[in-house]
Amino acid sequence: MFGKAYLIASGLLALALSAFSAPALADGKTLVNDYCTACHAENDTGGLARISEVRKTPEGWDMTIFRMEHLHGLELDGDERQAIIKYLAAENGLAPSEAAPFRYVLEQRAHFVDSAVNDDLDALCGRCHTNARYGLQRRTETDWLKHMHFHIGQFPSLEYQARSRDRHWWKEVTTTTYKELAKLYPFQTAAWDVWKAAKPTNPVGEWRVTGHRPGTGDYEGTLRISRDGDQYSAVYDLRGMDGKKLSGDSKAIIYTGYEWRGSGVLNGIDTREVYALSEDGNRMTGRWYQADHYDIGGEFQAVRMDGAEAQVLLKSSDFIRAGQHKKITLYGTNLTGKVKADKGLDLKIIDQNSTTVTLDIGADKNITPGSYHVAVGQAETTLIVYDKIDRIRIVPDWTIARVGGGNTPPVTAQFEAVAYMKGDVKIGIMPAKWQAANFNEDAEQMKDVEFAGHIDQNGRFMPAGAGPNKARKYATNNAGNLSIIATITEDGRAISGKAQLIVTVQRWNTPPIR
Amino acid sequence: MKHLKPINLKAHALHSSPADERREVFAMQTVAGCASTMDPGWEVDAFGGVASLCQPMEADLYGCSDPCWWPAQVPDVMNTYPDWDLDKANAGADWRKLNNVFPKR
Repeated sequence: MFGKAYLIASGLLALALSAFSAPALADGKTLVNDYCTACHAENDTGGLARISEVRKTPEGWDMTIFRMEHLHGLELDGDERQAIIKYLAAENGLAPSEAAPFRYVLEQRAHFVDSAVNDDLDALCGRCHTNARYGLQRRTETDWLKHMHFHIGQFPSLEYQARSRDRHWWKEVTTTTYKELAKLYPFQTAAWDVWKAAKPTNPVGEWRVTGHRPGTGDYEGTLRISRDGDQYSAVYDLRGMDGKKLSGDSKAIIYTGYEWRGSGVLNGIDTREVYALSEDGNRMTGRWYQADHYDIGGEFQAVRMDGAEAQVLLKSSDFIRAGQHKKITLYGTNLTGKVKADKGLDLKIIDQNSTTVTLDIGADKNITPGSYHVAVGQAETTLIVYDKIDRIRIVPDWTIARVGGGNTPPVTAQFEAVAYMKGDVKIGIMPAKWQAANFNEDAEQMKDVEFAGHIDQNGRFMPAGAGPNKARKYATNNAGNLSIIATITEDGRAISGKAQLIVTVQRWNTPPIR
Repeated sequence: MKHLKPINLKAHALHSSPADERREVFAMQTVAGCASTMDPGWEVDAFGGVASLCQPMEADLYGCSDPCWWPAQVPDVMNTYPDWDLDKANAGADWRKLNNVFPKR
């Protein structure tokens, strides 16, 4: 059932740690002692040199183990590898609060814009890789300095890269930067001490799921988690707002007590799951994506059903237009209370049970546009009542797609049109007419829009093929700098929004943390 | 710099753009994992576009990946992945055979 792969040899990216379907695992501590001590000597504190001075995410340890295999001759089978990563992520992992700011990288969000805490770190580190990459590590001060030395040892040509010479970078990183990193991302933290000592939560049980698939829409349903050896099995029973089923299952490992990494199948498509359990173990959030296309997936939120408070987690629509009637369904937990709404909204209950309330809602034509409360017992939510659309914002408003071909699948870009009314009040996502255009004069000259790919009417941009294109000037790649335009027509009036899309080349260095 | 004159399109673009349009800060607005402020970046040029990138990138790929110009995007064959381009000497013809370097999981 599980595709164990996440794409690399076949072309795309190694995205997250998959859950192998292996049975019993060898003891991680024993394996670390067996395999690592040949090089990593015991240090003064009884730990192992380097290893015991670093804390990382499971993906971070995965990358370290891969480097040991690739460059230093370590040989492990899949079970051993998994056991070692699980052990290291448990002993030297990150507390939930430490990983929280950088989950976008773990979740493989293709369109997230990365930033550093200051320009120096952005220049010294963020020029090559994400700022999340070091933000997801904790090291002793001594080890951060060794990390600087590692960089010049492994990538000696750093010294002559064009922008390296705009500063005395080696002096900087070996005198001040490593100390700054040790302060920003220290090995010893109260958060980790508390988390490591905490009793692990148990995810087994029924969960209420809600989520959003960009370009497709929202979904809701249930998830049943059961224990499977030292892993977990998950069975999904989900449905889109259009009523279409989204079902399947997965198998997952929980690293560090909260990092859920699953491999599964939804509607026949191999998926990967990167979720985080909340510290109390009653909520799980994150993203799932197609194993072969990390750019296609869904936002995910699950709430434990047992003991859940009355809450609305999702609405089939977030808005209604003044003067209109609309059937809107509320999805949540413990929705058994009395339904009421602010004055101006007329409610009729079509159906109500503990997880779903379907309402026929009418908004008075003279109602003042704005946010209106709807309550189901103690569960409260808001609906936006609007009179007319003022502007369209495209999300994301700046992103990239990558051409694909050979062993490297394309990376698509998914856009959504979000309508706003006057006062910059967000109405919600609406269907739009989509088109691409040349972004500027350079793009016009190179006819980028003719070569770089096409956008469909769900807002997904599919880039063109990779490789030199003889039909283009200089036989250049099918790269391009495009405007993406979404148009919504309301009462015969067209309202448009614009985003920028860079269609660029493929990449072959594809670790789970870029 | 006043004695130096640009001799190609890219140099001309850099030379003629106002200094405040040269987006040194672009990295702070860059999609996670993209190299932009190296000159040229791999995905995005210093102006936030693609016109000043080395393209087609296959023409320059090995010349730049050998000395690990974009080590986080393109495997460097200097030190880390010496066999990445083995038997793929002509990037323009062989780019389809190039593999990603992190193992499939």
